[in-house]
Amino acid sequence: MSDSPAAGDVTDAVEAGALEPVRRGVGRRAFLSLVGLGAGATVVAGVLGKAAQQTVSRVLPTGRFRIYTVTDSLPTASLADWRLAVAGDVDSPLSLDYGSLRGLGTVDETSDFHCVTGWSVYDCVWSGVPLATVLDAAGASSTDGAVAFASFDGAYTESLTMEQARRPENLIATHLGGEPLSQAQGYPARVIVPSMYGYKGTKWVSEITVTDSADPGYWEVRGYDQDGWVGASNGYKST
Amino acid sequence: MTVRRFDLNTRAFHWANAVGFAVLAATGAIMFVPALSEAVGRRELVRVAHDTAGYSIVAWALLALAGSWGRGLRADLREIDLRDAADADWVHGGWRADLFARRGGVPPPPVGKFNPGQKLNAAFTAAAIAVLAGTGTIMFFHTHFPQWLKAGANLVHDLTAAALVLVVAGHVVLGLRDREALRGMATGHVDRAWAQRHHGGWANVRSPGSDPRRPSVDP
Repeated sequence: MSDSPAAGDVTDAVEAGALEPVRRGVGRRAFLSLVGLGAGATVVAGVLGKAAQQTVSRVLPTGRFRIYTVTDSLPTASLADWRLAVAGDVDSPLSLDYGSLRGLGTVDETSDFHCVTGWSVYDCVWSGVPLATVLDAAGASSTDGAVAFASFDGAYTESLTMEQARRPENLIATHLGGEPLSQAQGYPARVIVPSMYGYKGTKWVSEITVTDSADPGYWEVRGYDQDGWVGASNGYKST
Repeated sequence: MTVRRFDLNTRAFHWANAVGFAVLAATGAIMFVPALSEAVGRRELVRVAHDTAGYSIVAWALLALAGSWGRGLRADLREIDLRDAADADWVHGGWRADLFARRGGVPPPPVGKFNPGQKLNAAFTAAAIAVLAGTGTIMFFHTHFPQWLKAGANLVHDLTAAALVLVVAGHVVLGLRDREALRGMATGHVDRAWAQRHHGGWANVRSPGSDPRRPSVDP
């Protein structure tokens, strides 16, 4: 065939199967398949949970901390000037420097860190002083009231009930993975509350105040739940 | 001599996507890469910029497709939806003649207004935007979704964004290699000889009487 066939011949040829007909729906199918793949992967990765997300993070950098600050730049403090004040309704208010904080007795503890926006960092090895140890050192009540935290960034605040604060896994952490906290991670010290979302753990912590009741902190004012239990708050109520 | 390739609405849509993508990629990188997060700070501002750009391009897409002004864009979508014999030729080796053309070489298959690579790029980019918008919405309303779903959304959002960055990078490289294609999206018009070579089956440049569905190899 050297000449182009006339229009009528083409229609006949297509109908006779001699020419490959134009197929429709190719783009739509590709689009819908890819959207379906994304939706399916979202559900599967979510349902499989830690194992799947850790597997991906071995190959791709998806398992790292995202760095949040509520201020314009990362707060800085020199170790010489930094103090952790423990005040409020306590028998003996404290002003701990870095050495005397760690002198209260440090522990190593492995826990998973969950951000309320959905990312997690698994098997973090924190080192620090149990929060209960710090509260005891100041002679705080073992059951009553609440504990407020403030950051030396001048903006961030958080709070826990005394019962929540005294959970044994809570730390005033100074080290992550055997290294002193990075500046972005809250150097020199941050609060770690493994059973709750990351926003409950004040970075760059400098004040602990024992109060009557838990006042809403920086993110609670902006709509987050006061009781930030992982998997049972902020969009998922267990009861 | 030139022929018209893209109307104003289509070009505005394309370049709005380009600007939106640049903002999204930059702000996304700032939120994802720790060194950039630390250097920039201001996370709330960065997040708001990211979310605003994301929802803006989705809104722009819906507006650009609607109404009488969206006729050209909708016609392009119908083109993307088709696959004919010339497309099959292009996929099975014809793309070499199209993308790496040498003077006097074999002419590329007479594909329509878009070649299969462009069709796949459009379908992938649209799907990626939909997936990113969906997973991004789950993260945006993160006090309204269960944690397991937010975790899946985070992972898929990150991976899809990375894939889209690679695809867009390839799209930009190909556009810069073929200035006439770039001119088409910039001015709306392309050189007729270029169009006849690279899009021989396109209705705007087809010689009268010829059939776009004619396979390049006779049956």
